[in-house]
Amino acid sequence: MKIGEIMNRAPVSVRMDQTFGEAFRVLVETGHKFLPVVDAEGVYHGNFDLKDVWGVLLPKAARLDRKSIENLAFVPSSLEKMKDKLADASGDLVEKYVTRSDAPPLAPESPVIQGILMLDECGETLAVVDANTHKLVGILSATDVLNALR
Amino acid sequence: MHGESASHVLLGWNAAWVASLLFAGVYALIIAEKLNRAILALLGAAMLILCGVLTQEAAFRGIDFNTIGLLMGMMLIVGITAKSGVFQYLAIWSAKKVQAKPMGVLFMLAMVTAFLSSLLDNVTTVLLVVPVTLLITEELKVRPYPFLIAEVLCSNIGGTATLIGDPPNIMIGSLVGIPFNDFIYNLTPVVLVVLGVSCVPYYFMYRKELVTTDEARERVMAFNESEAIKDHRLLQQALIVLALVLAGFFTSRLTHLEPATVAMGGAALLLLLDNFTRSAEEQGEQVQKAFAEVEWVTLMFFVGLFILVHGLETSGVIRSMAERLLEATKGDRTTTVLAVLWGSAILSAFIDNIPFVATMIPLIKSMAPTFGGEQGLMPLWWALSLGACLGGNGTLIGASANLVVAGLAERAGQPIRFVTYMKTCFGLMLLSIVVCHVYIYWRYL
Repeated sequence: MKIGEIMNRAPVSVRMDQTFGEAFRVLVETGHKFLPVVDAEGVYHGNFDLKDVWGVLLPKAARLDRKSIENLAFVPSSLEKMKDKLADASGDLVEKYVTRSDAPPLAPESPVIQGILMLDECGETLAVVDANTHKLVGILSATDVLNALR
Repeated sequence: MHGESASHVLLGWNAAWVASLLFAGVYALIIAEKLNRAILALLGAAMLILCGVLTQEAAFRGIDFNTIGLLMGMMLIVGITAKSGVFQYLAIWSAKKVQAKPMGVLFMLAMVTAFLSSLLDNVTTVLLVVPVTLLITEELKVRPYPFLIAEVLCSNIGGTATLIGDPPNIMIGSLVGIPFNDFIYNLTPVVLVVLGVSCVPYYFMYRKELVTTDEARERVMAFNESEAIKDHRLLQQALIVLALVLAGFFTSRLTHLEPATVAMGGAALLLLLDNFTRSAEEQGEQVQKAFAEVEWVTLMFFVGLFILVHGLETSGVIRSMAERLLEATKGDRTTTVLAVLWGSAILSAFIDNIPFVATMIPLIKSMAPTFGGEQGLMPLWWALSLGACLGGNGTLIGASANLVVAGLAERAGQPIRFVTYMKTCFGLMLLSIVVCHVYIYWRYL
């Protein structure tokens, strides 16, 4: 079975020229943890995900590497302060935050087992991209695989 | 010494030439930074044996297991202690002691770095202090650059103060047999002066830049340092073991215990205290994690290096280098000591001070007959230590801690450039060596 047969063909995505605030709203409204990022032609450029939101909320020092600061219990925090940080970042373009997944994007012709391997290694959702045009054609999530297996 | 080398060098080559060429080749490749230095040192050591300059037994005799054991023991102790959060506590507490005023915070964090570096490895110290510094400067909305540079400088200055503070001192202490207390008695006073003298130009360089708002200061003052302690039980255990280890170092002359025994004994005790209440499975996991904190690459670099230097020693290269140095200084002790101080400082600013000191130790040892025995060499050891440790401050590549801070700064979006760093720090390094020059001349010559 091919990935194209089970993937979500109408994924919610954001464009490079949209703002952080707009992308954040899409995440909240859809409940997704991941949004593929495309340009005006629909070419896939990477992802905007919850890690980008955490990156805005956390001090830079906490994101240097896994072990730089393992405990932030000593820093006072409030929801208002966090909302202020999100408001500060809301005007930034998504382009500033877009990150390439560790895995190369999947192709609709790839076998599902390849998709499962990538999901096991790289997360819950992955972009599926046309191999020639690099345009986003769908996303493959853990739920898509589980539904296919029911 | 010549009896230690293998009887047949490959193709009948001259042992001294083979040892010199291999050493120079490894050194050049280390400077080129294309290959990991541990790979190069071990490869060089293996080739030394394969070429027949040393037998395997002789090569192993060249490894100073006291240095290796001391480094490994301290790495284990620090790795376990860091889990308690005590180092973050210390950094936040010190920043709050000066009401989070930027210049005061810079001074306090620099002093904390110097103090910790005198007891711990410099790289470990900056890895612990720099993230908290970035956190505090982000809240204060000030540029972290002056803070990070001060911490680089103070990690190298503080590390100079004790036998366990910096690898050159560990090697000198171990290979020459100088006790822990002698390092404190001879080096700590001048290190304190260097710290004080370095503060003056630094203050004038950055005093105008380091200003913030009351609101930003209040944010830092609201940090609750006691929340930084993640494991109170582990903290108590670690502090007890650290106190015992320090007591062991201080009393080593009475107990005749080598530093490696003290450090490894302390590490074993801390592992025991941290694990004896856990199940066998948990113990396996925890011990695995603790040993993963040991920088095996550094230790293997030392192993290879000791063998390479032993090759130079047994083939007579070191003795001939010493003779040439003495010819150049006309056998005058004052000239030789000051040449070692300045030469070590300038060279250590550009090349790794560990292989440099490893080469200099047997070289200086062989000068004993000229300078009236081992006691006559003492000023040379202090000159070597001060030059090699403080020289590392001269450039961004002068010491491992410098590069580690540069790496962290880059990831935090605050890159430190080679030339910018050198403009600020080379002069401060020369100033520190001038202080040491006066100190050595006044106290020993």
